[in-house]
Amino acid sequence: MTITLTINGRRTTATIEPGERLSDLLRREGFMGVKIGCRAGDCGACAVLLDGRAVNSCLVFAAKADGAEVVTVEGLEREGRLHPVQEAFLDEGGIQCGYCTPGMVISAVDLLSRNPDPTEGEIRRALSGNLCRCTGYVKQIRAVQRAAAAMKGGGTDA
Amino acid sequence: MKPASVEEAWAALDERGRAAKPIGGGIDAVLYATPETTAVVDLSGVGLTYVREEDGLAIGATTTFTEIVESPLAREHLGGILIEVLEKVASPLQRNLGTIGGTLGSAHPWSDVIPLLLALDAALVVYDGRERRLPLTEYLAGRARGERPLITEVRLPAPPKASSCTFEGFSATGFDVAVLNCACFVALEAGRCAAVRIAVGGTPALAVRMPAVEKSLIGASLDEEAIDRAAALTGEAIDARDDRRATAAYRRVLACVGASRCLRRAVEKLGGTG
Amino acid sequence: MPERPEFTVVGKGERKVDGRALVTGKPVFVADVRLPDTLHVKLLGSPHAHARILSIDTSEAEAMPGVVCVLTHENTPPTRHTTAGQGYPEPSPYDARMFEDKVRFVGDRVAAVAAETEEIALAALKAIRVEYEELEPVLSIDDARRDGAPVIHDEEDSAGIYDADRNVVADVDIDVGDVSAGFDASDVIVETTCETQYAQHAPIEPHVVYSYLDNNGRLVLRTSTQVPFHARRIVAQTLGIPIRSVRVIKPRIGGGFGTKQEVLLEDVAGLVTLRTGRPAWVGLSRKEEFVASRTRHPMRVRVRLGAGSDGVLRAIEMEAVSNTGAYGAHGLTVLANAGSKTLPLYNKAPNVRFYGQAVYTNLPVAGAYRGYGATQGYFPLETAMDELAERLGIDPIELRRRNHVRVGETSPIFEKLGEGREGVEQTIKSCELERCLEIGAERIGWAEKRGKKLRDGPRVHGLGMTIVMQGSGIPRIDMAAATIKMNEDGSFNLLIGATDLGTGSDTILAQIAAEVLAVPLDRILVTSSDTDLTPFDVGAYASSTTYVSGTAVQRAAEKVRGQILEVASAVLGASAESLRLADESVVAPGGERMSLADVCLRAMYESDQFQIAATASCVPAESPPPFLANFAEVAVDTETGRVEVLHYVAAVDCGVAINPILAEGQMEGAIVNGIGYALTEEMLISSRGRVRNPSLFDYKIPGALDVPRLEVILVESYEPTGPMGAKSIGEVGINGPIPTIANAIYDAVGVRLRETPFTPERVLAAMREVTVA
Repeated sequence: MTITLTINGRRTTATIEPGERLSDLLRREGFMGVKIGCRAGDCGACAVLLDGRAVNSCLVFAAKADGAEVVTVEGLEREGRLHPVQEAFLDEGGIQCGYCTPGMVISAVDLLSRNPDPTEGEIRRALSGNLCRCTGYVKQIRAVQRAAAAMKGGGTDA
Repeated sequence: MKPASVEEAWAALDERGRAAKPIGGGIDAVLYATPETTAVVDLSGVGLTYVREEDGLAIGATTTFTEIVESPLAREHLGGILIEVLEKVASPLQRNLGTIGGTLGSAHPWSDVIPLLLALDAALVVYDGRERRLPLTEYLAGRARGERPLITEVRLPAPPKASSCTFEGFSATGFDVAVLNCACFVALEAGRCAAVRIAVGGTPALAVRMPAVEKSLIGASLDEEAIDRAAALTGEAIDARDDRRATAAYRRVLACVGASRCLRRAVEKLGGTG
Repeated sequence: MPERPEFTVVGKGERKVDGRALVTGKPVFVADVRLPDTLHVKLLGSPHAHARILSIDTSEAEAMPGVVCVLTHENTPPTRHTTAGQGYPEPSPYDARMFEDKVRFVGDRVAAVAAETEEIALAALKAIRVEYEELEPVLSIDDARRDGAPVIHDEEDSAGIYDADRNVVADVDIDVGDVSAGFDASDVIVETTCETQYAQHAPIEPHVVYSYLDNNGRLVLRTSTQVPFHARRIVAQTLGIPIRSVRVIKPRIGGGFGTKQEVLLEDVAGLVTLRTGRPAWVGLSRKEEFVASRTRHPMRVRVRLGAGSDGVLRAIEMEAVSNTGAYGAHGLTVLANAGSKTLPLYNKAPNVRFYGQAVYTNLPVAGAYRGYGATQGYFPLETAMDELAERLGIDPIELRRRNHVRVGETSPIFEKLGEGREGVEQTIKSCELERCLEIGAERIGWAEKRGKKLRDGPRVHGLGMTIVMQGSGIPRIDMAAATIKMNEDGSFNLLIGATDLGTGSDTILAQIAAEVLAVPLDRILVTSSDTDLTPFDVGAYASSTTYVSGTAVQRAAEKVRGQILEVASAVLGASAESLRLADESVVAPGGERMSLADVCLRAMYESDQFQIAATASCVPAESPPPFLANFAEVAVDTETGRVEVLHYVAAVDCGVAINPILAEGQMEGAIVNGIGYALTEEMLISSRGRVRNPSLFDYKIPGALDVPRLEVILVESYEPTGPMGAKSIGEVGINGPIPTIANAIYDAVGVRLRETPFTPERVLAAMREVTVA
């Protein structure tokens, strides 16, 4: 079957297998920022924004994304400028191997888009579906705090 | 396929029998796909996403957990217990996708939602050629017999004055299913227990009400002793078994502790013991 | 402490050189790049824990449309090798074949299918008919050593197994002094036996390899590995091809922690490509990652301590039995490390004995895992020290003070026990443990909270502490090399074999080079871990990268600096010795400057042209330990047994921190991994040897909600033998949580836990002394 969806602002038409997952479709379309860690929704590495909400793309039938707007980590950059969350992750040392990073960033972007002033507890909860084995989460939580502060300040620089 | 109405959806499901699955977010359809499933019926266009006031609360089956958590009406219900529980279920990524109808349709034994809804005396509006309303307990019983009507709405009755609901879940990590969970609803009248509903789940069986425990509390003053006795009875009464997560013996301990903490907090919320 | 110089680039929390690519989701991991005609390879795993393959019929599978190649023991090289990524000759037995007519654990390789799509490959696996003769499985350490136990490795052609007939892979027995006499002379004796569980690294990226033939028909393996050079050598050995015919490239990888210090899938991918001429991709599913990659060695370790009433140790005895699973990779070395990285810490004990065995079982294969035996050894050692402190009426911190090794001291264990063979003598030249203890105790509130059993609701609080150490590489065995070449804009290419798993080694090694060459970090362009382009490095293990690879980089940079100064001296008219580098220039005593760009332009194009470049190597003479003091506050729920870590303080001496943010990151990650290992992680094995919980759903690793208030304090020392004064830090953090939390639980509720993980059920049972089913 054929579906049409918007990926990072660009309308895309794709032919999909009936049971195909959105994560596999996105990677087929070249969006390698969607990482595969478990294919079961347990690790969050595949997180993308689906109609503005962060979801495990490995748990979504590609068919269900027909007519939807998808944003992957690749879509956060604007004309070479990184999203404040991305800058904050770089500055705080919130990235080690980087495999969980795209999903983590997506979850953080979702959080800050609806809660610009989160408590530490709210940040932890927002990241709770993204597993990381390298960092221990300490600097990632701090990165989200830093990004929140930067975004409230009105600038896009960290 | 993505039908535009409940009737259309049901027709598609009925025609295909076991070969078709209804989905909200589709999480469990993706995770537990079987070769016999050849069609998926996406209900998100059927108009079942809402939280309304209707003699209590009416929640459309395709409403996601995030949408419920963000609903001011849902927050008002019984001191926000729905928010308190639903904002911790699974992960935020799954809460953005998973629907209340979907979770009831899957009826996972570790579900936190089902014991909560049992304690809240939830009823479901279903459609299987005709629309009807039935208590959640009846739906679950029918489901165990293989019946799969289409869930369209969850109804929570308006709670009486002087009532509260609490929940206690035990799990290994923060993003984890319950080893055991417990939900309690308590209503007081003239300082005594006028109504009580206790549901325990993850035993590892699906959540059920605890009628013997409830009976022991009706009309009683909910003091320390009464709660301790009820908690002990809960621990004994659950259908506990060993599994990967815990032994039956330990689950009995958790059921006792869970019931104790739930009842105590429910009473505290109402301003102290009866 | 020696004077710590002022640094310009070193010591700064610079952004990682690969950070931008990672945070923007660029296709930098193995799975992200695939050529059009790539074959998908899937592996068939054994359903039995122990069986012979009587026959294997692949005809139906081979006939399926889209199936291109099927591999079994009947059509692959029978070369015995080890999969352990270690230096040659590897201290692990050659007991593995690509495929064999015997299977030794549930999930052991039976066959491989290469097909046009994953679906076809999976369908073809189902069509392979295998006739097994089931054999009695060995499912525990005690079973393995029983008289008449089935022999797991009964083959003729294995080598390096200590006693195959008794399932013993390795045996170690060393002593110093006379422990019997030592115990006789002790006023107090404490003994404890602790057991650690099967745990898995759970890197978020499972093992994956991509192989193809380059335009000249050479085999290229793009693989998620910690050991590119060992992988090249072992693949060549296994497939019977010359080393020159293989190229191994490590791009970005999604975590390793030891499970990728293994040559796990490269042989299969390589052979498929060689046989078919087509690219091949082999990746483990998450379930396979649990079942059929590598795990921690479960161990049973007994420690006996004897001390005088003054608290000074008279004797230490450590006996370790390690379960190495179905194959012996890392069996000897992990066993030895349980002693070699723990016992030298308490060098005041004149009498020490370490002995033990690593045994085979028909269970998942254990391998390298951060800490590498030391983690398992510290559990009973630091628990026994805690018990000793209580018996003696001495504060646990004070007891450590009276016994730990200090600057200028040595331990006979360094010489007696190394990586499976003798070790190397060394004298400690940097150790800030005293300050670590002081700072850590103050931050956790030791005096205020320890022994107070503060309550909140049903929970009781307790405090525990430990000290631990690790090493910095394997002395006299590890080798690292670096090449630096200059470009005419004053930038440099840094070519290093060193393997960045996400640890940030590309960044810190560039910082070292930048410091020596007096340039900003972005003037160093790093290429790493490509066996064609970069010089040799053993790879990322044994906490070697900062110390060993860092020294190689420093030496190469110094050689290049020497060449730069020679070129400049002709122009500036001053002797090379009188010149120095600063701010991307050569500066003469009188203040005249020549930019690095001009130096290279001259050398490349203008006069006496040559390529300014140098290669340098490092074989370390010693392995200076990083030292760590751990403090934890826990709350134990007395009704449910649940343990929550509220506050964890780690004060660590890793010498000079080349990049403090990355150093902290290593510690934080290791500690959180250790907390999972202590509280929630456990691979459950059925009575038939099958892993019952091979998923992240059922095997619980810490998430963002589970991390305590975690404070890592870098307490700098200056290690004179280390690059810029640095020691390594990659592993030591994981050694603390288990015993620190155990000691804190004791402080809270008075029970000693001796079996990990400390699940609520175990803790409650210990509190109630109820038998746990």
